[in-house]
Amino acid sequence: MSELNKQFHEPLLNVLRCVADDKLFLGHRNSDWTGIAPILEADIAFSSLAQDDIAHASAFYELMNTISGEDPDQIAFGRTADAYRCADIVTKSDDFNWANAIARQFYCNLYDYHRLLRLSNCTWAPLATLAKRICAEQTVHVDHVGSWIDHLGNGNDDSKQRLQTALDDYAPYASMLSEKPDGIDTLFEGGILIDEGCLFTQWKEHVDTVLGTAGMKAHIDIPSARGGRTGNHDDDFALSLTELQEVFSTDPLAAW
Amino acid sequence: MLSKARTNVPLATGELQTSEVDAFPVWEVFTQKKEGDAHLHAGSLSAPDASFAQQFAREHYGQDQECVSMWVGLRNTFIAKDGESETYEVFVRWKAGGRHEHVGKVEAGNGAEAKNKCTEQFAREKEFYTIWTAPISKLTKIDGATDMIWRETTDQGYRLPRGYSRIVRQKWDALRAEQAVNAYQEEDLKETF
Amino acid sequence: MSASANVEVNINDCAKADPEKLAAFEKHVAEGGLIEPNDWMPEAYRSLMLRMAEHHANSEIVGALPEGEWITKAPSLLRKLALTAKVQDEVGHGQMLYEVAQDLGKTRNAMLRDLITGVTKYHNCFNYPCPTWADICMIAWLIDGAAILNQGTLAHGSFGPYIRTMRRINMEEAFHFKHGEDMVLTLMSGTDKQKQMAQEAFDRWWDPSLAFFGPNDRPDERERPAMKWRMKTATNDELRQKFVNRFAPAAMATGLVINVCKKDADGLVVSKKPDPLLKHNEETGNWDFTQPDWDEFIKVIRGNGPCNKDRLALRRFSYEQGEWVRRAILDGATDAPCNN
Ligand SMILES: [Fe+2]
Ligand SMILES: [Fe+2]
Repeated sequence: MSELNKQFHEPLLNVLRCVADDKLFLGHRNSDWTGIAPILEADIAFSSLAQDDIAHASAFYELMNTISGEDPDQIAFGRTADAYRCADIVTKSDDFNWANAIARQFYCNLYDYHRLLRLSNCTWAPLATLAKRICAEQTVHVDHVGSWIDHLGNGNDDSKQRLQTALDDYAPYASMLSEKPDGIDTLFEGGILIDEGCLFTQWKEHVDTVLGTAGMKAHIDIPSARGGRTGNHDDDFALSLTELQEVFSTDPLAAW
Repeated sequence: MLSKARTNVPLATGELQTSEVDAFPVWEVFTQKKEGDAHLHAGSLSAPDASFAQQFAREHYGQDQECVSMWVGLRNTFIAKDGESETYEVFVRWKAGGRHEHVGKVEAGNGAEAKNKCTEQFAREKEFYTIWTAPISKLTKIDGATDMIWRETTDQGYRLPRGYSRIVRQKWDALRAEQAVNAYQEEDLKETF
Repeated sequence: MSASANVEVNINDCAKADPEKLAAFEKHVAEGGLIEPNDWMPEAYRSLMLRMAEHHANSEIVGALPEGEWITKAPSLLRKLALTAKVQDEVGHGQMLYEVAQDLGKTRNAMLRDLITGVTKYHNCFNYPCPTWADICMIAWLIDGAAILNQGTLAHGSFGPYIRTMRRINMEEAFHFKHGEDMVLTLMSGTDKQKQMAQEAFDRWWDPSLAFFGPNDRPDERERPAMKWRMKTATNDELRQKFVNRFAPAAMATGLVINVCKKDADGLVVSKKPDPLLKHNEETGNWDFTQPDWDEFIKVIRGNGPCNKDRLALRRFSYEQGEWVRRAILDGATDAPCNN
């Protein structure tokens, strides 16, 4: 790739893998609600956002392709579990509970928004351009999930309790979103990405603000252990991956 | 393996276990395809309040085709005859089977007056079918320039027929003789439009 | 139907069919005129239109279930996006059609509850299984192809809200069909295993596609209300013939064989032979074909098909699981319009 020095290829690919895999699997899980969500209008809307996420993942895989030459479908579908870099919140089972789906969506959408804002300042133009474009769409997601937090949090006692429980259940997984991707320091040092201070803090402040107006709270901490970002995934991820690859893996070289 | 949300579905029959929640109010949605076009009635939806109505409208009627602006309002607002003195957006359905189309604004004391003014100003010479009016304060307006509606940053071709025409033609050509292709494609989608 | 700003007609007052009004109504419809909800219409027209829109809406949202199962397994990024969008469109079709039906006098809740308790029906073809990815390809090509033919004629009907909805829906069906065609062509240009998958799925879906258009015409078909009042503009057999004329030669051109199949209780094919009647009839200009198995069709429509129970159970589960959400957002509703 033109101006990107070879030494930054692998670190940048790894950062992109984190972003794209998060989006792919979040979209993968959310698309599963198409046709069975609580309200037809909400069903349509949630599916639309899931499509955005998959489309965004696609765009990032295509960008990776310009660096590595690898086919986007092969990147998305053709890896073994330990080569995926998503945080496991994206595949944590929602057990067909809308409160879970909304909690997961909330943490992830806000995190993505702040991460994309930072990638928009990348000094490698192709990434900056793409991140800027996607970030504009991401605001729609932040808005939409904000409506849900607002309505469920300010709904009735039942919904308050359900949403708070879901937020609590997902909080430890949410923390894992902010695990640092390998190679990002190399990109900071090389001036490819700009280190703009603590992404975690910025994200957490945003989370707290939105939840505050809905009378909800979240306990997210800086992650202590390393998980998805190093390819170390849990059982729910494994189930999602099996599903993702079910047809593809019957003949990975065939066109589908 | 079945997907997670769809596993362990109990095979229940008989009476429903839940009581019925009241119906949500109905909202009318207008979309504008491009700058300068009139806002056209896109359809209706059910939502508990204005904030969800616009969220739902954006993801449903705002994603069919390019859309640069949308207006959402309670159905009752459009047919009401009462109301306050203010600016009203006025919409005309020219004939049965057609869609309400935005024709302009009028200043009026209430819905009935707005409808009369609309008839005088916009539909005096022409036959028309029904008029809807809505005070501006009761419409939620979403402007695509500041609030994204239609997503054009990634290719939307995957959910439009035109996204497939070229590749489908190539595959047919590769698969069989040209002559037979033509016979089939002559009829292609004729019934659709 | 003269120009009239917001003339509110009380439908119930008009229910006592008035022979003069009825004659005027029928003349208007026969001349190609359109009916809007506030116009006078015979009670029978209203209830028939309601039932038609409700059945159509039910079919869209139940139709979203078999395909929905495959969204998470779609084998490429494009297929994943397209299948999600397709199933989403079907939910959207259901939503819009429920709005049409609701304006004719039945609440959406009542319609959803009648659907899941088996009081009302949905399209029979969604009671068959989709054991492989190729089934998804065939549904999109054949069933959506059939739906386009059918809905194309419905868009020339007499009821304004319904035909407006049909026009919108058909644009999306065109995408479903084109994507289906792309998927079938991909399989048929693929490996031997893919071709075999496609043929097996085609064997499962050819019969339901023929049956899609409904039972054979009665002798008095054109005199019955649905056609007399222009809710339907083509008969079942006409549409079926049109479908075969288009799809039989196309299927054969891809290398697919049109078989007459026997199926077991699970909807899986146990034996098959090439359709002995299938040929282009020079005299009529149509393709001759073997009728679908109507006995089996009736059995399935009565609720004893391979997937009737699963489909309703999932629909019901979804409805019951969503109850608290509907209640909560109504309780949390605010009423100010939000001008951004
Ligand atoms: Fe449909
Ligand atoms: Fe369809």
